[in-house]
Amino acid sequence: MRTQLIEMLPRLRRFAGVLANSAEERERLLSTACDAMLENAHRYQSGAQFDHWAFSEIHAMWLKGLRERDEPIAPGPAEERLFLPQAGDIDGDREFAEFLRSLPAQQRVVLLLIYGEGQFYEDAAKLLDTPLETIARRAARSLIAFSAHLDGSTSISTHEAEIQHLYPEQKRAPA
Amino acid sequence: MSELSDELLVAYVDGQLARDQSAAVKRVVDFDDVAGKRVLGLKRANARLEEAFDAMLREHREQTDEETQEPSGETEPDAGAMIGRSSALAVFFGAHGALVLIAGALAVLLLGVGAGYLINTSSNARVGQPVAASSEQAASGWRRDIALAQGLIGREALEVSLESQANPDLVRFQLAGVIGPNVVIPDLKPQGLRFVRAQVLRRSGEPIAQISYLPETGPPVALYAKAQATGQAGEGSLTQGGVRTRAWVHNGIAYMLAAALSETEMDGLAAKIKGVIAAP
Repeated sequence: MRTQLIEMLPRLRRFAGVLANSAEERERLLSTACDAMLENAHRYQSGAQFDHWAFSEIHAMWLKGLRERDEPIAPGPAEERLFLPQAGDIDGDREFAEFLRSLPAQQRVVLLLIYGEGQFYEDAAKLLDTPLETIARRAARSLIAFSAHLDGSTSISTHEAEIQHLYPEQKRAPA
Repeated sequence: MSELSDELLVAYVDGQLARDQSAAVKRVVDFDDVAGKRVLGLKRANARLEEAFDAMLREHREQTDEETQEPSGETEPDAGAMIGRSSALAVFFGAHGALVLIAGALAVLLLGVGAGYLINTSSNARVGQPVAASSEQAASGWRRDIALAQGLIGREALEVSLESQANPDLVRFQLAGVIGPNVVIPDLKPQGLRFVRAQVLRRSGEPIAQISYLPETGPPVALYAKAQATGQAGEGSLTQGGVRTRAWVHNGIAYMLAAALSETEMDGLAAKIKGVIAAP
C-alpha cells in the first residue's frame, strides 16, 4: 500500500490540487487522505484499480470536509499558483490556470479525470459517485467554456462559479 | 444548422462514444460546416487541457522527487511525512515508474506500427474500448510521447535501414509540404552528426517530422519538427528513460532535439542547432 501510494503521489497531489483552493489546503487534504488510506487499507479490494480507489478516498475526504464547514461555499476562487507551473510557457499556462481557477472544484475534478487521467465518463462517474449524465454535462460545459476562453470569449464569472459549488447542475456557463 | 447537442459533440471529441456512435457523428460533422468548426475548436481545447494537466503532473513529479530525496526534518511538507519515509521505496518508485513508462511506450509503438502510425493518442484509444488505457499514457503530451519513442529507437534501427535518404534538399522539400514552408533540416556535419533520414510520424493526426542523425559512435540523435500550434508551449525540456529533450520555436516551426546525451551535451548541441537553423 505504501509503495503504491508513493508511486502515485504526484497524481494524487494533482488530484487533491484541483479540489483544494490553496496549496496549504491541498497538502492538508493529501496528508489526511493518505493517513486514512493506510489506516483503512483493509477496505481496498485486491484486484480493484488502486488509482480509482485512491482518488475516491481523496474525493470522499474532500466532501466530508466540505460538509463540515459552516459555510459550504468556497471562500472565493482558488489560488492561481495551484495550477500554474513554475517553468515552461507561462503565457499559455496562465490562460489555463485562469480558466481552471474560475471553475468550481466539482467541474475541475471532472476535467482532470477526463483530460488529465484519460478516464471514461463511466469510470469518472463511479469514482466520484456521481450520475453519468452529470459527468457528461460537466465535461461538455467545461470544454465548451474553455474553447470559448481560448477564442477570447468570456468565461464563467466568479459569482457564477460560487453558485455552482452548491448547485453545479443548475447554472450553465456561457458557451 | 447542426442538430448535434453540445454533450454529444464533446463526447465525440473526447473519444467517449462507441465506435458506431462515433462514426455516425463523424458523418454529420463531415458534411456540416458549423458542426465541423465547433469540433475543431473543441479538439483544440481538448488538446490544450491534456497538455496543461500533463504540465501540472510534471511539476508535481519534480516536487515529489525533491521531497523524497531531501533529508527529513524540513518544515516543508514531504512525501515521507505523508506516507512514511522509505528511501528504498523511493528508489523502487523510480525504477518501477521507468519500467511502466517504457512498457507503455513499447505498447504504443507496436500499436502505432500496426495502424500505420508510430504514435497513438489517448482519444483514439478511448473510442470503442471497454477498458481505459493507462491514465499516465493518456495524459502524455507530444514531447513526452516523442521522448519515449526516441528511447526505443536504437542505432541498429537506423544503420540497417534501406530508407536512408541521400539528398537532404529533396527531403526538406518534401517535409516543407507536410510540416510547413519554414522547416529546416540543419546540416550538422560540423557537429560530427551525419544526416541519415527523415520521416513523418503522426500524433492525433498531426504530422511530426523526425530528422535522424548518427554520430561516429554512440546513440542516434533526432530533431523533431512540427507546425507550432497557437497556445501551445514552445520551449522546455524534459528527461524520460535516459532521453533528454530541448524544445524551441523558430519561424512558426516547433523543434525538439531528443537524444540520450548528458545535460551539458544537450545544451551545447541545442545551441548549435538553433544557430544553424536561424542562419539565413
